[in-house]
Amino acid sequence: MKKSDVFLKYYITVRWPPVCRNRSLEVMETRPDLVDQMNAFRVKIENVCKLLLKHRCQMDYNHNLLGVNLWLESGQDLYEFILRQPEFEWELLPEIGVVNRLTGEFKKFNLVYTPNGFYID
Amino acid sequence: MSNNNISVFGSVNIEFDLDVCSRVGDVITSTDTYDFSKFKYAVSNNDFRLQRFMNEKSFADTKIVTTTPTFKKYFFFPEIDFLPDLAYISANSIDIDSCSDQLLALLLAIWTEKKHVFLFGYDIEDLTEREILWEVGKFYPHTNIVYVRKPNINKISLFDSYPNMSVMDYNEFKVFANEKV
Repeated sequence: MKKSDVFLKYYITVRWPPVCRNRSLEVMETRPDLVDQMNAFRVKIENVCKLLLKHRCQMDYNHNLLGVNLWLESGQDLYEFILRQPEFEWELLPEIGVVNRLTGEFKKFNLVYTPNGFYID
Repeated sequence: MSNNNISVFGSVNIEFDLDVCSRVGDVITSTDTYDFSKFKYAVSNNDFRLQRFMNEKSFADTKIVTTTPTFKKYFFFPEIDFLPDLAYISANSIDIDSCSDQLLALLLAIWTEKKHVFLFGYDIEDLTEREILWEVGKFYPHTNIVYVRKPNINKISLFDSYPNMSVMDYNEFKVFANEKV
């Protein structure tokens, strides 16, 4: 792979604000206020990504009941993203996906928090 | 470059022109002692060696691969990937972290489904490694595994019982490589 190719290796989900969680499409059709909140949340994530991340990231615009899906290129960016959750008052799902460059295999790992920090299991 | 061949460098340091290997196909290493920038994969489950792979310029274009348990420690390093599921490991319920780096490199080479796998500096003096190599040869009967060694008038008959395993010396390999170009 040439160095100039961007490879989005990491996949995370940022949970919706509590009031927007687990809302089906049918409910959202009757609650435009929730849709507005979700859209505002997406814009917030986009803005934070522009400020915080040094490498490429891509938001998945398909609707997800759990939250906003993000693809990230850099492990360092991912680390910062996880570390600074309290600053932006959001939380990640404790599952991080990673794509293997050799096989294209997508594998999920658990993000485990401890009193001293976090690790991958 | 042919798609039928792949070379694996094991744990024993040897003096051989690695460019010859890269002419016949991809090259995989399990050791960080060679100053060669054309390795396709570098395989290890040893922390020190992995860090050397990451820090050495010669490995800048090499895909660094390790076992899944070790990969979790290096999760945030995008240069490192985890090994695919290796049939030999799964079938024999082997603890992958107890495997030697050269064995992992060999299994990865076989996983690429190349017809011929050439072993350089592969430690067969260790009896355990030798037995495992035989078992791997038996497990993958459709892969030709060629043990490449220094020219020596004494023949070795270690692989005579295995139809898909053979021995070649450096000069024979160079002739083979020149025919490929």
